[in-house]
Amino acid sequence: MRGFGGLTIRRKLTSISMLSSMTALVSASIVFLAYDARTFRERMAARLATEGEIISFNSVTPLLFHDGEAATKTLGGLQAETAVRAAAIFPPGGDEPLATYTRDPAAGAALAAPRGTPRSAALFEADRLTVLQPVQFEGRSIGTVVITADLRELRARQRRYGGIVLVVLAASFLLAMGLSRTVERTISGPLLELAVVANRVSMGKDYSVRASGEGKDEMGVLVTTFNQMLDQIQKQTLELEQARSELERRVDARTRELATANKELEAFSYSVSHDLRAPLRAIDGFSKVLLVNYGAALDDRGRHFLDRVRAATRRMSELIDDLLGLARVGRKDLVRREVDVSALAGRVAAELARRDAHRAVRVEITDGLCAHADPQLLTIVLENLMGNAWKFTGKVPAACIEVSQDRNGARGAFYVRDNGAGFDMAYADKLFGAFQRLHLDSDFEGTGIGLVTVQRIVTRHGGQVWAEGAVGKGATFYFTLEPKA
Amino acid sequence: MVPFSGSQMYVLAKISGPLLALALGAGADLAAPALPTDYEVKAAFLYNFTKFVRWPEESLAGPRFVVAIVGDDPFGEVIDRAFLGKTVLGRPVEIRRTRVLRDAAAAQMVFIGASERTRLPEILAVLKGESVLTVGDMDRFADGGGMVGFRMKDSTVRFELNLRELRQARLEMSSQIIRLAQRVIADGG
Repeated sequence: MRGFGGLTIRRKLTSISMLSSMTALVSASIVFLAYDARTFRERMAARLATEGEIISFNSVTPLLFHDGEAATKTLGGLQAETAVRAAAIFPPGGDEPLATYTRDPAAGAALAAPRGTPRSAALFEADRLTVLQPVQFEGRSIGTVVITADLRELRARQRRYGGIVLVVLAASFLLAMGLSRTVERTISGPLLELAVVANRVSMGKDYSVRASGEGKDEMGVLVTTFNQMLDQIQKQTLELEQARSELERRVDARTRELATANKELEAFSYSVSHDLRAPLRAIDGFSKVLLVNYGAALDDRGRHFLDRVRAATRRMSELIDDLLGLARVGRKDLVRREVDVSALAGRVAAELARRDAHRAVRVEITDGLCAHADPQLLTIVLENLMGNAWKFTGKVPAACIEVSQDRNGARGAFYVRDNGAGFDMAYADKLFGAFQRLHLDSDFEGTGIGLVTVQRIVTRHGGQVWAEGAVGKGATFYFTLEPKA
Repeated sequence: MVPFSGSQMYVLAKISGPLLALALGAGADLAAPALPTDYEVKAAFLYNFTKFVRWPEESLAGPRFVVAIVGDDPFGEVIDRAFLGKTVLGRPVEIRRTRVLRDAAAAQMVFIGASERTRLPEILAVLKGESVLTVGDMDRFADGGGMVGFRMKDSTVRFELNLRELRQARLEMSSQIIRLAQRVIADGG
């Protein structure tokens, strides 16, 4: 918007003071000019009235004795009054004056005889003043003195004064302008500085700057309050900074502790798994030798126990393999590259079908699935998830596994969906815990390590893994391989 | 000098100016009704003089203010009209036409007509020592010992004054009148 609202504070202040001072000055000048004009007219009227009275007094005998000459002489006294243009003395009821006077004979201003009851009067016209003064003698009117004065002097005087007023106005304008500029600075200066400081604070986040210009007025209070606010902010920022660095320090420490503990744990589990293999191999080997060489010597019951020992040994071996696999996942370096997820899933499905040839499972893999991930680790993820799906569809007639990507949903998550046994969502948070199993070993065999491994790999990729499902309605496992955008 | 009636005097006064030739041809036109005649003017002057002259107390012993007309009366009723209903110094005015000089000496103002030119020294001698304002309707009246002498100037009525005579008669005349005089014979002059 243009106009007063759009001006800067400096201009506003200057405008306000200029406006008020000029208004005051102009009105004062107008009043002064009007007063002067009025005074001038009044003085002129009073002066002419006095002249009229003197002439009237001196016209008594000339009027009584019809002495035009003496009357003319009487009027001659008006010569001293430069403003008087013309004058005349009229006998009562007469149109012919007894005597006339004109300052400038060439101008020859004719004076009209007064009408009506003779009385003192001052008549102002455009550029002249006419004064009527009756001549009294013994209580009756014996004539009238008429004097006409020029008001051109007034015009000239007004022009002169108008000029002076204009000069004074111009000078005052300049003076007031200079003064208001100076005075305005005492208000706008601190304000502008405040604005600069505020800008520096907001742009540079530098809370250490302070506005200067303390004073006892509202501006001083504003500056002081502003500085106090900055103090507060600076203090809070510092405290926040300290709290954050403290937090970071603690997080760092905890993370280091955690990493160390994790490493130790991994090393421990690796060495344990590894060290467990040797006695397990002995148990397996000697139990096999026992069965082969002395199987005939055992009765059926003995051979059954021996089979149970050998089965438990195999299971333990698988458990150790899985634990070692999990430990390896934790230790292996992550090498990302472009991976054809569809092809990978296809190979995993083929391997599953080869190992379990008697099952007919329909596997649907969406073409063109791609990921930027570690191919070895991603293979392990797919082996686990698709293996689970394969396993948990073992008791449904038309088993179906779907591998695809939810392009619309959460961050383009890949998913493996089956129509198998499913699970109760109430236990969804337990799915990814080590050794947590939702199904009886007799229903579906497993070590409970698979999903932990999956979660470990997905987490190392910066992604997330979660599951949806319902008992008897199948399950869907989602995973992402990129950190959240 | 032959005495004139009022109207004759008027015609003479008017034609004595530059209008003579015109007046001879169309004298009737000049007698416009609005214009006062010379004797109406003079009668008014007589009354006006009383307002600017101060008489000593002892001369105003009578109940009336007496204006005496000595010699032929040129006014007729004009002078009666001039003083009609008016008072002078708070007294009613009596116009007294007389040839008896003693009557004149008892008046406050005496008008001496043109017919008395030859008797003037005699009349003035009788009035000598009295506080009587003498007004003469003849040339050189003031020079001849009178106080106020009418004379015509540019066909208007004017007057001359003899201040010495006024003082000797213990009459005081306002300067307002004195400045109007055509000629003033000064006191001691």
